[in-house]
Amino acid sequence: MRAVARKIPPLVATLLAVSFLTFLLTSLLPGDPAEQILGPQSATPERLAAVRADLRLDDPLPVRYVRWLGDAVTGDLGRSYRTGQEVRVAISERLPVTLQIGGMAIVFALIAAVPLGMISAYRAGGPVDRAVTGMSFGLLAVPSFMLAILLILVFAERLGWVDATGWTRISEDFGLNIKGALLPAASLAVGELAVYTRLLRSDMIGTLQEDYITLARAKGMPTFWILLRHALRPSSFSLLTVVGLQVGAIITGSVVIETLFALPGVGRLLVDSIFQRDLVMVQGIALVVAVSYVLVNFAVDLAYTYLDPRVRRGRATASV
Amino acid sequence: MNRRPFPAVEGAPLLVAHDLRTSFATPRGVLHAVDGLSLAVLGGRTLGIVGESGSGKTVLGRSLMNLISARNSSQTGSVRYRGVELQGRSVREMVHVWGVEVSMVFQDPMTSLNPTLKIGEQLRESLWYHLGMRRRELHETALALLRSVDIPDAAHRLGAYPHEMSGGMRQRVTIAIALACGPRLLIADEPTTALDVTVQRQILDLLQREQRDRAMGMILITHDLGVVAGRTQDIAVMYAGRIVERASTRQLFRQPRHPYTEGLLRSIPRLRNPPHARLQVVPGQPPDLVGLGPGCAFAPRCRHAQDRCLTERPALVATGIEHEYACFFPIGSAEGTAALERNIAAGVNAAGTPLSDVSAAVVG
Amino acid sequence: MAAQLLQSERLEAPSTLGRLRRSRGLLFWLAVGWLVTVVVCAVFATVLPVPDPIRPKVSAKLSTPSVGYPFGADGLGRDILSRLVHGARVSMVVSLTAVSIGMILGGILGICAGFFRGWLDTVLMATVNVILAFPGLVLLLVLLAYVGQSLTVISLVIGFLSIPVYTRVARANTLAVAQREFVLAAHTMGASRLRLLIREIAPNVVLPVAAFGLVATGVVIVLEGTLAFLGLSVEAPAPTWGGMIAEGKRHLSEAPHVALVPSAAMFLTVLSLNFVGDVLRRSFDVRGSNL
Repeated sequence: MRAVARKIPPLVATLLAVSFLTFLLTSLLPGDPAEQILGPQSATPERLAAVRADLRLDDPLPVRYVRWLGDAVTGDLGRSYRTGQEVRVAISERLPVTLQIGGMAIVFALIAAVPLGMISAYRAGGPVDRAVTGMSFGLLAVPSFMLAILLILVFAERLGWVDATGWTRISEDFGLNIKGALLPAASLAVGELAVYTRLLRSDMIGTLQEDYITLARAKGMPTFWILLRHALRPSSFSLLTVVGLQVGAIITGSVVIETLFALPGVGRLLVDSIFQRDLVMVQGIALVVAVSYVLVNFAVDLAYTYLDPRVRRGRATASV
Repeated sequence: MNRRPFPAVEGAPLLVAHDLRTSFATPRGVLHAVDGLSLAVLGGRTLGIVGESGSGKTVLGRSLMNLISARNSSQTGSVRYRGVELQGRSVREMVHVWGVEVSMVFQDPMTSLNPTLKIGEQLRESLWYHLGMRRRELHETALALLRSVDIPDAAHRLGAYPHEMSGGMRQRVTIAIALACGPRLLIADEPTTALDVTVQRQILDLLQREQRDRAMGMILITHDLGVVAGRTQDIAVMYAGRIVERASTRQLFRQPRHPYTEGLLRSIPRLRNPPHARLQVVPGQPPDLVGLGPGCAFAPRCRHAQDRCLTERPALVATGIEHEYACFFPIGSAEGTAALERNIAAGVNAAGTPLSDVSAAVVG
Repeated sequence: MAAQLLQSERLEAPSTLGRLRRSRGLLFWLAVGWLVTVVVCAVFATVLPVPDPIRPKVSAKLSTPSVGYPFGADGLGRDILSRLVHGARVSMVVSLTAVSIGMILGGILGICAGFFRGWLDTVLMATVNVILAFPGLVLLLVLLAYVGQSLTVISLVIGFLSIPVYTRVARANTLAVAQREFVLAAHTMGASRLRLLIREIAPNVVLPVAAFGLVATGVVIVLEGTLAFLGLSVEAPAPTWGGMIAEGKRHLSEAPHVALVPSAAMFLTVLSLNFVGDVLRRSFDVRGSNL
């Protein structure tokens, strides 16, 4: 517990730094919010000044930052100047979509990568390994949008199994929802699969050379047992790190896919807001993205202690 | 205790290896770690295998158990366990031999336990898999095993992780794991090398006791003749992948035949030596196991070496009572004594290595 | 005695050419060949005998590959091969500029951090970590949308945003190299720190960082494609590979080749870059080697 507590101050410091950076950068962008609100026709100098005073837009930056941060901590990310919708509401409406696609992608990728990685490592150099390694290497060169196009071409256009665009909420129709989520999730999953497989394979090859694996063998434990129970856990570190990074970056990772498939997710909201110069929305989303990234990485760090008990007790090993 | 219904018959051959050869493909060439080795372990008795590091003894231990992974290695010869040939068996078949019939205790307790699994889990899994135990029986057997290897506070330790225990404690756990399913043969590969001297004796005593109580056969692999002195009935001395001398322990210590054995004996420091007595060592280094020449592997370092030793490889020859050695000029024989005198006079042996100037009279 | 020590063990830094000369397979040279082709197209695009990539020709709209149009024509009748060749220029310029900026600036910062350690290292790495904690894509999109979408802007923005990553890579390699025997030997013989940095460390860090940069080039090319899909790449009608793929999506059902041909080009280029970078990394990377 103490080890966890020790990590909190740097975490808070990072969060503060990141939030400040977010605010700073987005405030520096050109475009007058007051003008946006009033619209070009009614933007007379007096009205502009009134709006600016009303929103306290002329306060110095640090003051505005603290006010913004204070609001954000209580969950108030402001209201879009363009649509009038609360940022918080807009994000929370769309977040489930992004999380579902991103989550499905990671799960698909892991389900395939774990067995592939284990078999490749166990029979390293063999035909299965060479095929998997070659395939992974090739897949790494296929970006998600390229794969999405291929999948659309095959499954939507030629085979007609699914629609290329459109989204059904899970609450409305589970089956349709899954159908609509398959292609986007698959586009993301395949690239991740290649990365995960390579990582797991490489870590596991190292683990399989350890003495304790030979001992498990000498005990007469069967191969699948040794791989799953003895070898998998110590080999998961790189994998965990990368999965953590991807969960943390789930919003930015889905930007292209959501645009391509016209999905109502946070990624697409971000892009739209940027184009529409909707500053408040952009600020709010950027903050959510940055904070979630930092927090998820922190969680991954904590998860290490679960995987490796040696880290748990803060290295209080008994003396020889 | 975990005694089998039909314990191994005392004195019956448990494991018989014949012309065992294990080689590895290395970037420098083929490495012959085990080079035509034959031995037998009898039920209820302990065989000590003694050799320097680099003699191939660890590879031997694993070869006997068929644990050498086939990648980059090749193993030929025969290893029969209770008459059944182990060589060439698949992993699926060996799974029923490993742990159940033949078990191994590894050298380094710091690396032989899985750091991410609790002790109890590592102990229980073979009981569960091989003996089909469940729940209560599993727990109680695991507990009993830990207690039998003298681990204090055993109940607590079942839930501990390896890194929470000292080296000596961990080695006891690996012994418990090895004994869990009641094997008939235990191979202990340098079980005390990585431990403190004070702990070493406890572990060796433990192994000896377990072997007696369970009527197991045991192979004790070590580089230290002191370790095998009081704890084995037979000893095989290994050099460069081959057995150079084999005898009952008493015979070996009383009347070593091979110059290497004599060198090993001489190098044991004795309490009764005067202070500052110089340590006797066998001069030189163990040979590179890649590209061994045609002659006796020990010749370059041997005080008795003659020309014949450089070109011909001596075979194991048995004398009357169970005592074999592979030497053309053994100690205690006429040819041997003459060879030694010739070399002393010349100041070098046939390979050109100068003889050390300390006489053999140091042995008390 | 020191001289004997230096002779008996391999304390000289392993030679670059020696490591490169180790036999590379056919695949390696194929990849290199492809990359050379792409570079040649990029450099000589305007003098190559291909039709105008920009002028639309409605009569040839969406035609499949034929004699006049080796890879077919796109939605506005423009020759795909020609657009591909010109698009190579965009991909090359953006990726090479961005990677160069990142490598040079990030590399210098990273080597300094790794070599001098102390407060410089702490401050730099804290800054790098904070910057990397911030979602780069968001920043990229925002900057491009507000500042402009010219080739220059895109290249520079991507370049500067990638500096932190190179800093990390360079630092890690510097830390590893600084502990190798030949560096310690030179230091013992009295080499000044600056000399150590320039003669021993920098040359050995440059290579793995460059290998990383090769792979990064592929990443930037893909990034351009991503931007094109979001409408933030170089503006039409200038041909870019990403833009061609994005535009081709519209015609997927009737004329898939419009999207597939540039996809194949991008795929082969990224694959070759990854492959060559991987091979070189394995020869040069200090951290992985088991000397």
